[in-house]
Amino acid sequence: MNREQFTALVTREQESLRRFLLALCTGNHDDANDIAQEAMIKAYLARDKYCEQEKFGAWLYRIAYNTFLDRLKTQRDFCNIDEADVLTAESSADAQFEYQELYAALRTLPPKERSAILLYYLKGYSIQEVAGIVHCSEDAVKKQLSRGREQLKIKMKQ
Amino acid sequence: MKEEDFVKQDDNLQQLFDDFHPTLSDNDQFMQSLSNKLDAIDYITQRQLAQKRCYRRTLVITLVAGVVGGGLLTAFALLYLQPGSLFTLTLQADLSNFIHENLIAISLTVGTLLLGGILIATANFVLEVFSYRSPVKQMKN
Repeated sequence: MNREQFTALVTREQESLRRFLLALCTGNHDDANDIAQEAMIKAYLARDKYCEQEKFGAWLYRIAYNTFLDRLKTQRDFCNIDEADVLTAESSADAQFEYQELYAALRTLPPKERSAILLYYLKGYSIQEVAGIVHCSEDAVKKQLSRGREQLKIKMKQ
Repeated sequence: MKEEDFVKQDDNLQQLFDDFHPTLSDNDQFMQSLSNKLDAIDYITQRQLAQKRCYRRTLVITLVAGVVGGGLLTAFALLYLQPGSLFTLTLQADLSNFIHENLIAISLTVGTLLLGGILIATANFVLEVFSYRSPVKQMKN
């Protein structure tokens, strides 16, 4: 895949990916954009490994998901992740005005459950595809979805 | 639980995410920033490739020089040197006599040093080329 082809595919996917990452980062635009850029750079560097039988979107989401987990790991080294979430959420306009309730509910979910919920409900991937993206079995994804869904319902009712 | 069950049970949740359309930062700005980073990556990659080519060329030149030098030296020794004592340990006033009498020893010493140097240089280049770790790869990790 040459650069033009890569750029064309990324241009098509970037908005959707950023929306997914914004939800994953519970409204933190800076983090979402940084992860999106980092994921796309990683994808560009690994583009020779991309198998064209696989959906480009799913491949890109897998890289973005791993980048998100890496970032969480790094953030944990510096500060408590809950404190970080509160700080970032407060600094985001979206978190203050729009979708605040949703972001707050998503923030209560562990990263893996949050990812599974977003990939399934927001992006519309099947359980099999979600399992491929988050490197879990389908049963594990079903459990994550079930737990996440229950927790979201409780939080959204409050 | 079947996949369809999730969808049936979560119409509200599905609606919630269907309505999720947050305002994102400017697409063009985002793509421009990405494009600048990709330019930098392409530049580094090209420099690395050029460097690798240079290393390979130097390696080939060194190898050819070693083989040709070694061959010429061997041919010279076989064709022109007379069998004699390997080394004569006597004080010679005349340098040319000393060289003449110890020609085989001197030739072998110089040849050994030359070939040894070339082999060491070659080994260094080989190691450098094969253990070459690119900054782009490091970035990936």
